[in-house]
Amino acid sequence: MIYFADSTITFTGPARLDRALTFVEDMPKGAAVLIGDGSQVKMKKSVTCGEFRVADIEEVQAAARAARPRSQKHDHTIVTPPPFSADSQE
Amino acid sequence: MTSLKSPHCPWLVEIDGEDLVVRNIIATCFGGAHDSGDNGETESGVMNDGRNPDLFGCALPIRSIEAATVLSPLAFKGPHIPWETLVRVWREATGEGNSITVRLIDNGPDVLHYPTHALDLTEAAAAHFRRDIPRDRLANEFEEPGFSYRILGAAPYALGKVI
Repeated sequence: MIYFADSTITFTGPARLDRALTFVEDMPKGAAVLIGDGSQVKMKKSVTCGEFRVADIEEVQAAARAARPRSQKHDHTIVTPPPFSADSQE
Repeated sequence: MTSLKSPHCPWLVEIDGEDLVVRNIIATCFGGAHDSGDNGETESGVMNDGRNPDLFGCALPIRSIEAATVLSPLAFKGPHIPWETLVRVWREATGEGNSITVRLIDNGPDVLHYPTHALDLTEAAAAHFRRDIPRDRLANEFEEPGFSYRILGAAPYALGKVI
Protein backbone atom coordinates (compact mmCIF):
# COMPACT_ATOMS: atom_id res chain seq x y z
CA MET A 1 0.00 0.00 0.00
CA ILE A 2 1.15 3.53 -0.69
CA TYR A 3 -0.23 6.86 0.32
CA PHE A 4 0.62 10.42 -0.46
CA ALA A 5 1.22 13.13 2.11
CA ASP A 6 2.65 16.43 0.99
CA SER A 7 5.60 15.53 -1.22
CA THR A 8 6.34 12.29 0.59
CA ILE A 9 5.30 8.88 -0.64
CA THR A 10 5.34 6.13 1.93
CA PHE A 11 5.45 2.46 1.10
CA THR A 12 4.22 0.26 3.90
CA GLY A 13 4.98 -3.39 4.41
CA PRO A 14 8.30 -5.19 4.19
CA ALA A 15 11.16 -3.02 3.07
CA ARG A 16 12.08 -3.92 -0.48
CA LEU A 17 13.75 -1.41 -2.73
CA ASP A 18 12.42 -3.07 -5.86
CA ARG A 19 8.90 -2.88 -4.46
CA ALA A 20 9.41 0.81 -3.85
CA LEU A 21 10.16 1.25 -7.54
CA THR A 22 6.58 0.76 -8.63
CA PHE A 23 3.21 2.43 -8.20
CA VAL A 24 4.59 5.88 -8.80
CA GLU A 25 3.12 8.72 -10.73
CA ASP A 26 4.59 12.12 -11.41
CA MET A 27 7.45 12.05 -8.94
CA PRO A 28 9.16 15.46 -8.84
CA LYS A 29 12.88 15.88 -8.43
CA GLY A 30 13.76 15.89 -4.75
CA ALA A 31 10.63 14.06 -3.66
CA ALA A 32 11.20 11.75 -0.72
CA VAL A 33 10.26 8.09 -0.79
CA LEU A 34 9.96 6.28 2.49
CA ILE A 35 9.93 2.51 2.47
CA GLY A 36 8.56 0.15 5.07
CA ASP A 37 11.32 0.32 7.65
CA GLY A 38 11.62 4.09 7.49
CA SER A 39 14.59 4.21 5.13
CA GLN A 40 14.38 7.11 2.76
CA VAL A 41 15.46 7.72 -0.81
CA LYS A 42 15.13 10.88 -2.86
CA MET A 43 14.37 11.34 -6.52
CA LYS A 44 17.32 12.51 -8.56
CA LYS A 45 15.16 13.64 -11.45
CA SER A 46 11.51 14.01 -12.21
CA VAL A 47 9.68 10.99 -13.55
CA THR A 48 6.21 10.75 -14.95
CA CYS A 49 3.79 7.91 -14.32
CA GLY A 50 4.86 4.32 -14.11
CA GLU A 51 8.04 2.89 -12.73
CA PHE A 52 11.17 4.70 -11.80
CA ARG A 53 14.58 3.13 -11.67
CA VAL A 54 17.57 2.94 -9.43
CA ALA A 55 19.31 5.49 -11.63
CA ASP A 56 16.57 7.96 -10.80
CA ILE A 57 17.24 7.80 -7.09
CA GLU A 58 19.75 9.40 -4.80
CA GLU A 59 20.72 7.92 -1.48
CA VAL A 60 19.92 4.49 -2.79
CA GLN A 61 22.45 2.79 -0.54
CA ALA A 62 20.43 3.22 2.62
CA ALA A 63 17.46 1.54 1.06
CA ALA A 64 19.57 -1.20 -0.47
CA ARG A 65 20.93 -2.09 2.94
CA ALA A 66 17.40 -2.31 4.23
CA ALA A 67 16.31 -4.66 1.47
CA ARG A 68 15.89 -8.27 2.48
CA PRO A 69 17.91 -11.06 0.89
CA ARG A 70 16.58 -12.22 -2.43
CA SER A 71 15.22 -15.59 -3.30
CA GLN A 72 17.79 -17.74 -5.01
CA LYS A 73 15.41 -19.56 -7.35
CA HIS A 74 13.79 -16.46 -8.71
CA ASP A 75 16.32 -14.01 -10.09
CA HIS A 76 15.07 -10.57 -9.07
CA THR A 77 17.82 -8.55 -10.73
CA ILE A 78 16.48 -5.14 -11.67
CA VAL A 79 17.12 -3.99 -15.21
CA THR A 80 17.65 -0.45 -16.38
CA PRO A 81 16.52 -0.58 -20.05
CA PRO A 82 13.01 0.76 -20.77
CA PRO A 83 10.35 -1.69 -19.62
CA PHE A 84 8.89 -4.00 -22.22
CA SER A 85 5.40 -3.01 -23.24
CA ALA A 86 3.30 -5.91 -24.39
CA ASP A 87 1.83 -5.59 -27.85
CA SER A 88 -1.91 -5.74 -28.19
CA GLN A 89 -3.72 -7.53 -30.95
CA GLU A 90 -7.33 -8.25 -31.68
CA MET B 1 -11.00 -11.56 -27.84
CA THR B 2 -8.09 -9.24 -27.24
CA SER B 3 -4.78 -10.83 -26.43
CA LEU B 4 -1.34 -9.65 -25.47
CA LYS B 5 1.84 -11.19 -26.74
CA SER B 6 5.57 -10.88 -26.51
CA PRO B 7 7.94 -11.87 -29.31
CA HIS B 8 10.00 -13.72 -26.70
CA CYS B 9 7.30 -16.05 -25.36
CA PRO B 10 5.08 -18.55 -27.22
CA TRP B 11 2.12 -18.00 -24.88
CA LEU B 12 -0.49 -15.27 -24.98
CA VAL B 13 -2.45 -13.36 -22.38
CA GLU B 14 -6.17 -13.24 -23.11
CA ILE B 15 -8.21 -10.34 -21.78
CA ASP B 16 -11.46 -11.92 -20.66
CA GLY B 17 -13.70 -9.30 -19.13
CA GLU B 18 -12.02 -8.12 -15.95
CA ASP B 19 -9.65 -11.10 -15.90
CA LEU B 20 -6.47 -12.14 -17.64
CA VAL B 21 -6.17 -15.75 -18.83
CA VAL B 22 -3.05 -17.67 -19.82
CA ARG B 23 -3.36 -21.15 -21.33
CA ASN B 24 -1.23 -24.21 -21.91
CA ILE B 25 2.00 -23.19 -20.27
CA ILE B 26 4.54 -25.13 -18.24
CA ALA B 27 4.10 -25.00 -14.47
CA THR B 28 6.86 -25.55 -11.94
CA CYS B 29 7.19 -25.44 -8.15
CA PHE B 30 9.19 -23.15 -5.89
CA GLY B 31 9.99 -22.71 -2.24
CA GLY B 32 8.80 -24.69 0.71
CA ALA B 33 10.87 -26.60 3.20
CA HIS B 34 12.65 -28.75 0.64
CA ASP B 35 13.76 -26.36 -2.11
CA SER B 36 17.51 -25.96 -1.89
CA GLY B 37 17.38 -23.26 -4.56
CA ASP B 38 15.04 -20.95 -2.72
CA ASN B 39 15.30 -19.40 0.71
CA GLY B 40 11.57 -18.76 0.94
CA GLU B 41 11.74 -14.98 0.59
CA THR B 42 9.18 -13.55 -1.81
CA GLU B 43 8.60 -10.08 -3.16
CA SER B 44 5.18 -9.92 -1.54
CA GLY B 45 6.68 -10.48 1.89
CA VAL B 46 4.82 -13.76 2.31
CA MET B 47 7.28 -16.39 3.54
CA ASN B 48 7.35 -19.49 1.34
CA ASP B 49 9.86 -21.47 3.36
CA GLY B 50 7.63 -24.28 4.59
CA ARG B 51 6.49 -22.66 7.83
CA ASN B 52 3.00 -22.75 6.32
CA PRO B 53 2.74 -26.15 4.59
CA ASP B 54 -0.75 -25.27 3.35
CA LEU B 55 0.27 -22.08 1.54
CA PHE B 56 -1.61 -21.95 -1.77
CA GLY B 57 0.39 -19.38 -3.67
CA CYS B 58 2.08 -18.77 -6.98
CA ALA B 59 4.65 -16.65 -8.75
CA LEU B 60 3.81 -15.10 -12.10
CA PRO B 61 6.15 -13.25 -14.49
CA ILE B 62 4.63 -9.82 -13.95
CA ARG B 63 7.42 -7.34 -13.33
CA SER B 64 8.78 -5.18 -16.13
CA ILE B 65 11.81 -3.93 -14.21
CA GLU B 66 13.39 -7.33 -13.54
CA ALA B 67 15.61 -9.04 -16.08
CA ALA B 68 14.03 -12.46 -15.61
CA THR B 69 10.54 -11.28 -16.51
CA VAL B 70 10.90 -8.08 -18.52
CA LEU B 71 10.01 -9.94 -21.74
CA SER B 72 6.89 -11.59 -20.33
CA PRO B 73 3.51 -10.64 -21.86
CA LEU B 74 2.37 -10.08 -18.27
CA ALA B 75 5.10 -7.52 -17.57
CA PHE B 76 3.09 -4.40 -18.22
CA LYS B 77 4.64 -0.99 -18.24
CA GLY B 78 3.41 0.77 -15.13
CA PRO B 79 2.02 -0.74 -11.94
CA HIS B 80 2.25 -4.50 -11.78
CA ILE B 81 -0.61 -6.78 -10.78
CA PRO B 82 -0.83 -6.46 -6.97
CA TRP B 83 0.45 -9.07 -4.60
CA GLU B 84 -2.27 -11.23 -3.04
CA THR B 85 -4.33 -11.09 -6.24
CA LEU B 86 -6.28 -14.34 -6.58
CA VAL B 87 -5.38 -16.70 -9.40
CA ARG B 88 -7.36 -19.74 -10.52
CA VAL B 89 -5.14 -22.57 -11.73
CA TRP B 90 -6.19 -25.67 -13.64
CA ARG B 91 -5.03 -28.28 -16.10
CA GLU B 92 -6.33 -27.38 -19.53
CA ALA B 93 -7.22 -31.05 -20.06
CA THR B 94 -9.61 -31.10 -17.10
CA GLY B 95 -10.99 -27.59 -17.47
CA GLU B 96 -11.42 -24.53 -15.33
CA GLY B 97 -14.19 -26.24 -13.39
CA ASN B 98 -11.49 -28.25 -11.65
CA SER B 99 -9.39 -25.29 -10.67
CA ILE B 100 -7.80 -24.31 -7.39
CA THR B 101 -7.40 -20.73 -6.22
CA VAL B 102 -4.01 -19.45 -5.12
CA ARG B 103 -2.59 -16.07 -4.13
CA LEU B 104 -0.01 -14.18 -6.15
CA ILE B 105 3.01 -13.87 -3.85
CA ASP B 106 6.12 -13.51 -6.03
CA ASN B 107 7.60 -12.62 -9.40
CA GLY B 108 8.79 -15.48 -11.63
CA PRO B 109 9.53 -17.90 -13.17
CA ASP B 110 12.49 -16.80 -15.28
CA VAL B 111 10.98 -16.45 -18.75
CA LEU B 112 14.18 -14.93 -20.07
CA HIS B 113 15.81 -18.36 -19.95
CA TYR B 114 12.61 -20.46 -19.90
CA PRO B 115 10.12 -18.69 -22.19
CA THR B 116 7.61 -21.55 -22.09
CA HIS B 117 7.38 -21.39 -18.28
CA ALA B 118 4.76 -19.02 -16.91
CA LEU B 119 3.65 -20.34 -13.53
CA ASP B 120 5.48 -21.28 -10.35
CA LEU B 121 3.35 -22.94 -7.67
CA THR B 122 4.05 -23.28 -3.98
CA GLU B 123 4.57 -26.79 -2.71
CA ALA B 124 1.02 -27.16 -1.39
CA ALA B 125 -0.50 -25.98 -4.66
CA ALA B 126 1.72 -28.25 -6.74
CA ALA B 127 0.89 -31.16 -4.43
CA HIS B 128 -2.78 -30.71 -5.23
CA PHE B 129 -2.04 -31.62 -8.84
CA ARG B 130 0.71 -34.14 -8.28
CA ARG B 131 -0.04 -36.35 -5.31
CA ASP B 132 2.22 -39.01 -6.85
CA ILE B 133 5.35 -36.95 -6.19
CA PRO B 134 6.50 -36.85 -2.54
CA ARG B 135 6.27 -33.32 -1.20
CA ASP B 136 9.95 -33.18 -0.38
CA ARG B 137 10.73 -33.66 -4.09
CA LEU B 138 8.12 -31.39 -5.66
CA ALA B 139 10.15 -28.19 -5.72
CA ASN B 140 12.91 -29.82 -7.69
CA GLU B 141 10.97 -32.33 -9.79
CA PHE B 142 7.60 -30.82 -10.64
CA GLU B 143 7.55 -29.47 -14.19
CA GLU B 144 4.43 -30.08 -16.22
CA PRO B 145 2.94 -28.61 -19.42
CA GLY B 146 -0.74 -28.03 -20.06
CA PHE B 147 -1.52 -25.69 -17.18
CA SER B 148 -3.73 -22.63 -17.47
CA TYR B 149 -4.65 -19.85 -15.10
CA ARG B 150 -6.98 -16.89 -14.67
CA ILE B 151 -5.79 -13.77 -12.84
CA LEU B 152 -8.92 -12.36 -11.27
CA GLY B 153 -9.60 -8.67 -11.79
CA ALA B 154 -6.23 -8.03 -13.44
CA ALA B 155 -7.38 -6.81 -16.87
CA PRO B 156 -7.29 -3.11 -15.92
CA TYR B 157 -3.53 -3.41 -15.34
CA ALA B 158 -3.05 -4.70 -18.87
CA LEU B 159 -5.13 -1.91 -20.28
CA GLY B 160 -3.22 0.75 -18.41
CA LYS B 161 -6.24 1.79 -16.39
CA VAL B 162 -4.61 1.42 -13.01
CA ILE B 163 -2.01 3.93 -11.83
